[in-house]
Amino acid sequence: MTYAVECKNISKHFGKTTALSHINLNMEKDKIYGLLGRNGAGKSTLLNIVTAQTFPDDGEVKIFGESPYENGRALRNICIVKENGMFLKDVSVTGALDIASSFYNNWDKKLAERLLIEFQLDKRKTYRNLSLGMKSQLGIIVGLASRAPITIFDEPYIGLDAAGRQLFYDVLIEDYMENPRTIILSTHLIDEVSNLLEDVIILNKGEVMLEGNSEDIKNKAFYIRGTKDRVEKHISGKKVLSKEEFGNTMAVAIFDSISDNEIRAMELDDLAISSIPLQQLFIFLTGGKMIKRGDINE
Amino acid sequence: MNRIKSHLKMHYLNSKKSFVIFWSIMFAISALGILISIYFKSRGYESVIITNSIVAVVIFGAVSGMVCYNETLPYMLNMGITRKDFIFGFAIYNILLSLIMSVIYTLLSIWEWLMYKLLGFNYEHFGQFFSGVKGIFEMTWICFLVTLCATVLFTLIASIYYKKGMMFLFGIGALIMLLMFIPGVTQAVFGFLESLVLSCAGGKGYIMMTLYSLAFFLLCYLIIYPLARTSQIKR
Repeated sequence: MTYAVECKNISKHFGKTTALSHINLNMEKDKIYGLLGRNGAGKSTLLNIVTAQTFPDDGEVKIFGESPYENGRALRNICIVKENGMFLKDVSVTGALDIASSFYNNWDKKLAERLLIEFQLDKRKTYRNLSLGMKSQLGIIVGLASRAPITIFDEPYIGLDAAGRQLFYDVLIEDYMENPRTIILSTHLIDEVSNLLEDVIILNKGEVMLEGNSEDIKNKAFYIRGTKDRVEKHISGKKVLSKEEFGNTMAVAIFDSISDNEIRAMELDDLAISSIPLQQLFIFLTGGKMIKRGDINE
Repeated sequence: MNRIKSHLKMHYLNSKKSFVIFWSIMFAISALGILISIYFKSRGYESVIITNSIVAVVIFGAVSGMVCYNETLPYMLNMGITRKDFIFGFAIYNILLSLIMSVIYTLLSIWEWLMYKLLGFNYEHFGQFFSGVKGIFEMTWICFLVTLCATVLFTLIASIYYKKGMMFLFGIGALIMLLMFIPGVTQAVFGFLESLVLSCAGGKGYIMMTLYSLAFFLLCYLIIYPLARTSQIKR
């Protein structure tokens, strides 16, 4: 099977700092991926390597089966939008879109024009004179209108208000339904995007901590609350992310498969079960106190 | 080829503003010079008027080469262009910019010559490197060659700076200065430069200058190419 993006044993160091350590990932065609991780987890470094802007110290990357390094054919499949824009400062919005349209083969001019109107972006302004939110809007327009087979958004909406972000999600989904492609969304705003993501990759300290289908992941993450002894009885052998006690009551977050029979048994024991939102799971996994990484790594 | 076209379009849009500002200033200075000359003429000044704008043109080319390289390499890598295509496109940009600058410089010189002649001044165009150069073509061509050499030299400096950083660049500067202290090195370098300049003198000097400039251009790009091929986007 040819993957849209294949990373084999990627490692990258900056001096004594390990940015990425033995990353192995396969991203399928026409899927929406969420690349999640805390600041400094290695997300941007990984995306820079995938797009051949940075070289790995070890390992190899393939884009639709080809190495992207100095390979125009492979690179033509990618559009990356970064948080710091990467636009030329003295070029106007019209100019930036004009340049982008000449680089991306599938450029959708109508979509770009529609988004310009919807975001109410002043076409004559130079990039230098745009506000932070407007710069993000321009990046989003380029990313969406590029229709690149692999479209990467690396923290695309710094400074963008809630309405602007919602518009981005709406257009992203609408356009994805009509023109499926591989979309990689690297973000901190996990709750907002959790419903968009088909697959989730969580990076922590340069390593893949968790990778899989977002629904499967959500279906394995539960809070269980109840009396201490009953909770302990049911979580025995399960992967526990967090445990809090209040007198005789205990609340635990677990990340493990729970069968229907187990759920019924818990309910019979008066235990409250609720699912953990993806953002909270992310916090447990990347910053929680009770993580046993060996248990979590899928 | 389409990617090179897109590359050049990007350079056009990126440089347009600074280019227009530069030439607006140049033409404004020229117009101001003419106004000052008219004033002096009204006060009885009848001597020679000397103008020179080639230095400004060369400096603009050099600065443009340096700034553009650092600004557009990460941008182009982000747009998915290969480093090889970037270098090829940048070399074409260097040539086109130098050529356009030279043509406008020649037009400015012709405008100044016409204006001063019309006003009845004894006009001298100072700043040509070789006294034998009188024709419009030669003037344009030599301005092109000098601007191209300056542009490509500063592109080389920019590529070293991008790849290795400012300290490395300072290190090279310090090393060159140290080498100059070795007995005989300074004489040898200046002797070589002198013979180079002398070989370009005379009526057909611009042919030698063309060959030297072409060699210098290729030599610089032979160094720039491997530097760019291994350059990464900055964190």
